[in-house]
Amino acid sequence: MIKFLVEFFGAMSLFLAIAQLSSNRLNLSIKIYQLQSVFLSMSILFIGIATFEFELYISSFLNLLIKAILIPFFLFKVVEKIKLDREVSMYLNITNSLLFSILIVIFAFYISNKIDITGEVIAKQIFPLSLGIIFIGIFIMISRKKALSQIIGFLTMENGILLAGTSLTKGMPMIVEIGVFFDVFVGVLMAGVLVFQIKTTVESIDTSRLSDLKE
Amino acid sequence: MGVIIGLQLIWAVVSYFLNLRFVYFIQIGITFINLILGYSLISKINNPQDRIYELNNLLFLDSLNSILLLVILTISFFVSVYSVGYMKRELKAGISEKKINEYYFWMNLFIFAMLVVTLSNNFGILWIAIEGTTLATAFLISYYRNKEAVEAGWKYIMLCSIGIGLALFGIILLYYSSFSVLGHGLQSLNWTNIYDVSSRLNPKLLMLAFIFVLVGFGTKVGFAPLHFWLPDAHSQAPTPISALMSGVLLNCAFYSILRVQAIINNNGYGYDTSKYLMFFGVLTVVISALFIIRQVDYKRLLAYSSMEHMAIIAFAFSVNTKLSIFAGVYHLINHAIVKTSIFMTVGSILTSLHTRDIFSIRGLFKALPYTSIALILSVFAITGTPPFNIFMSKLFILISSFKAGFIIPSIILMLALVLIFGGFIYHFLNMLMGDTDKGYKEDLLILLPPFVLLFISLVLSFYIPEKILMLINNIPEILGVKNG
Repeated sequence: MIKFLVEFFGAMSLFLAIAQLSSNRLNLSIKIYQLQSVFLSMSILFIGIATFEFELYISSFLNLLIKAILIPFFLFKVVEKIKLDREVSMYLNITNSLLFSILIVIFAFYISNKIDITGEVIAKQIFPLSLGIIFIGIFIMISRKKALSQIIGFLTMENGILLAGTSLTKGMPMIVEIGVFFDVFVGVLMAGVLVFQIKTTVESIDTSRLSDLKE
Repeated sequence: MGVIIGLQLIWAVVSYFLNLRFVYFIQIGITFINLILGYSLISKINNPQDRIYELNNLLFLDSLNSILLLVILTISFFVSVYSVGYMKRELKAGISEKKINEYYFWMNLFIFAMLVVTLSNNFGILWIAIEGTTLATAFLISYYRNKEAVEAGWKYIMLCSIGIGLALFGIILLYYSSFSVLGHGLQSLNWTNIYDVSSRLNPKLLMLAFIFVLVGFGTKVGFAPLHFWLPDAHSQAPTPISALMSGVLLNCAFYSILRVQAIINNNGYGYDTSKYLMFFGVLTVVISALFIIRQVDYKRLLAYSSMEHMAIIAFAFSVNTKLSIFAGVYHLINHAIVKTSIFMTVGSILTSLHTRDIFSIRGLFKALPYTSIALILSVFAITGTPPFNIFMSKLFILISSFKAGFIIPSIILMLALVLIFGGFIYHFLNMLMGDTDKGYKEDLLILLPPFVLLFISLVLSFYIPEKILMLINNIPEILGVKNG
């Protein structure tokens, strides 16, 4: 039962990563990310219940606090301050991105079949799911033009890595995990400040306009 | 070790609030104290098996990272001296004092993060510190707040974050393979622990972890095709920071890859890792050669040259014989010294002429005579002309790779090096020669560090101090060299 719940919430995270590809508003993207983080925390919580690891409860709680509350709050603030251009613009349209995401997920399952995962793993299917989330996150980063969408792509990828980490290894050691959370949080804050700097110098947050530095 | 790191961190915070007049000199003092502390630590290490632990085994020092520690501390000392002259000029050019405090704050945090990378025994903490270097330098790259600087900062933070994310995945895989042997907890991420039990780990999983780490940290080293942030970042950052990034940061990222490679070589799983390193090494040298020839911005040119040298170091380690690893480490030291010196001289040009365009600069010999002497010597040093030390290390690397039977890669490497030499001489002679009626004032504080570094470079090609030679000779055994 618990195994089912872990996999269910993991699968929901992947589903939301795909849904992220179909969102055409920055506000909606942030909300989807928020929900994905909640599901991720649930998945980590159930892994914790299954393995009796107390550290995973803390990790789940921190995840909820930082990624479902603090980071979205900050990103909403950024969107509010930027005011104009709220829609997501992309190099590849929604339909094609969704079709491409099918390939990504198949690829993730294919390569994780090649690696034999042995040892005490709670839910084997989590690994391909998290690989799928990582690849979709990278895909969002390269197919979106807006600076904020790229931040969300990075955060999606990071969620995937965290899911892979907890499912494979019952979570990294606590100090490391806190350090990773801290780095991600500070990274997002700094990226947010850079978004403001881009906004003031280029008058848009469209990164395809950042094209002065070329050979 | 804890003292050095702690001192650096405390000073980073203090330097943000202190009056600039004091910051200039205390900065030099602190980096000098750290250099002495570092040297006294290193003197305790004699054999390949010698390790000093500190802080519950979280920090450690062996022959490999003592070389890197020495490089970081030396370069940051010289950069601190140089920063005084450079920042005084920036102050005259109209940058506020607050901004310069900010500069010192981020630079010290940057050095702190690199020290943690070097001394950390724990892969988790190493990862956090490498991400720390990205965060500490992001605002330094966008320091001048113009359109180009912001663009470079954005590219840097995004590309490096992807790379570092992949590296984290690699480290998770490493942890997954080690915790079945060492058990759950912080100790299963300690390099020394993993290294000691490496023969019992799952080789396939280790290889997968290595590939993720290579691609991830390879982004920070600047291996082509992952290098796009590098020329932008190096050309936009303030020049002392460019020197630190080229000379030390790239080495730190490469060092992290080496640590994982050492585990796999010690695992006895053959030497497949070398193939990947060699591929990236040769590809990067070729690509940087092509970009150096058609470059119009001298700081970008130097950034591509950093890529080239990191790739040569990677090539040396991929050959994996005793001689080639010796040459690789030797080249790492040489590159750090010479690249810092050339960035410093170029900084003197930039603060006087305020342009980075190669073809709009003529007649530097008349306008800035002493800078020009430093520049021409640095150019000869960096391209590997005798009698400078880079010539020696490049020669050793090529000899070792021919000896080991890598004929075709070595020939490609040599051709690329010839192209790079041509590109350097063409571009820089173009700047130095010609006539001009302008003359500029030159600062002693800006020119002294590059001349001292060039002198060190000259000495190092004939004489390596015994202590350092011994440390370098210990490294092949740590990395698990193929044949004696």
